[in-house]
Amino acid sequence: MSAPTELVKGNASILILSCLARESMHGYRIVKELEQMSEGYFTMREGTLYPHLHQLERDGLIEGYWETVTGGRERKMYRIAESGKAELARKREEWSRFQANVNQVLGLAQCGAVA
Amino acid sequence: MDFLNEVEKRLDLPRGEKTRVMAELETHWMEVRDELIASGTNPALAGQQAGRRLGAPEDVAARLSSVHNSATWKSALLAAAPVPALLVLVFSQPHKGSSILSTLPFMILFGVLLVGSVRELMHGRRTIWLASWLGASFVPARHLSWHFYYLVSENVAARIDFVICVVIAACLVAGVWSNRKWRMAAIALGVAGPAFLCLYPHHGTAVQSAQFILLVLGINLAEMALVTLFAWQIFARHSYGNAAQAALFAIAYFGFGFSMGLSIWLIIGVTVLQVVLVILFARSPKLQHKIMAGVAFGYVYGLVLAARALIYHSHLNPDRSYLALGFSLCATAAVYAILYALPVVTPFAIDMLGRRKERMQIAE
Repeated sequence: MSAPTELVKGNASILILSCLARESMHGYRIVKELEQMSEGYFTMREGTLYPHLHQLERDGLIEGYWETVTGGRERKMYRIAESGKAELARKREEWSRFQANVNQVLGLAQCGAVA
Repeated sequence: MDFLNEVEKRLDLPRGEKTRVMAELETHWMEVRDELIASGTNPALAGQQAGRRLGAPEDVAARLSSVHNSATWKSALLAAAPVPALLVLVFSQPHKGSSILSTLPFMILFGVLLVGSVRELMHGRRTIWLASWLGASFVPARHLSWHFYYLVSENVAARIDFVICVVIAACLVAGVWSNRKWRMAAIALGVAGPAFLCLYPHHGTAVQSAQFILLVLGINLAEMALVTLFAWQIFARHSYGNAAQAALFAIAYFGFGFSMGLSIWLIIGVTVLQVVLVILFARSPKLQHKIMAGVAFGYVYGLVLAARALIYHSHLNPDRSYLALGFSLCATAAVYAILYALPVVTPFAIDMLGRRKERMQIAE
């Protein structure tokens, strides 16, 4: 089972930032990491990752740089910027609060249905 | 490769930026394809599957174009910020045009802008607001040259355009240009026009003559060519810059520059117009819309300046017919429109020609 597309889109920045908080990665690696870490739940059309990455880069939350890999091929790597780390911390906090409240509301709804 | 070709066809970005985006997508596509081939998939099929995994080309291209062309609200407002700052400074000048000292706050603020912009450039950054700030920070050179002109024109045959062009030519010669051919063209433009103007006899009545108007037009065109070349070199040719930034630099420079000497109400009008233009330009997701905004700006600005000139001349010649006045208004507005839209449109035109040349080379 995979996550609904809209949910992935809406939370793409936090997912990408948390991947890059561990180490620098290129686009394809980010897609694979997300898939592996979520055991296949977060799958996305790989091309749609790039608009998110470029937006984060323009916002100064991540930094892109080119590196040459074996065979002389060049690929663009991304690393998290200091402002990106702060944004990630803020988003994590926001997410925890949101999740706790959703859980609470869902719990109450279930109780109401049972009653 | 179908996916990549389709994306490239639909990607609405300036040339340099497009090349970088396509290189990144191509690397991704090749890595997926190589992995599929390594796992035993037929190479032709692997290419198709890699494309499918990347998604719908039209969707990817549209979203990438939007991200790259459309600045965030924060960046767009930051790009427009120097415009109202100019207005505040114009209001705060107690003795407009009387001495260099009266422009000190103006000079200090834009000096700070220049230092900040150069610092950003040296760090290799090419943000959309930087183009606007740098363009604005060049205005003091033009503004100061007015005062310089008033001070020395009594004794020396110096002209404002001479000072402007020498300043700009000096910037260019100071190492911005890497290509010898461009450098020589810049020096020639920067020196030949103003030198000719200096040799031109300076009589009060000459201002009325068509010869003098042509001369000033020539000098303005020379200045525009220099500024456009400068913007092209600094922004459009840089690996992280693009033609839109070069055009925004020109908008900032010429918008501010030509506001000098207008009445306060006209400056307010032009300021509002320019703030709207910069925000539209920065936020617009399509290149076509940016170009249209630039042309519209040139036209409205041309109308404003033409109307002002016409009011002035109608005081001098009250007997002129309405038909003649209307004709003058249209003709002058058209000339101004071309003059002001030219530096905005030129970077896009050079970019488009470059793209066409590349396509023709590939086709051959």
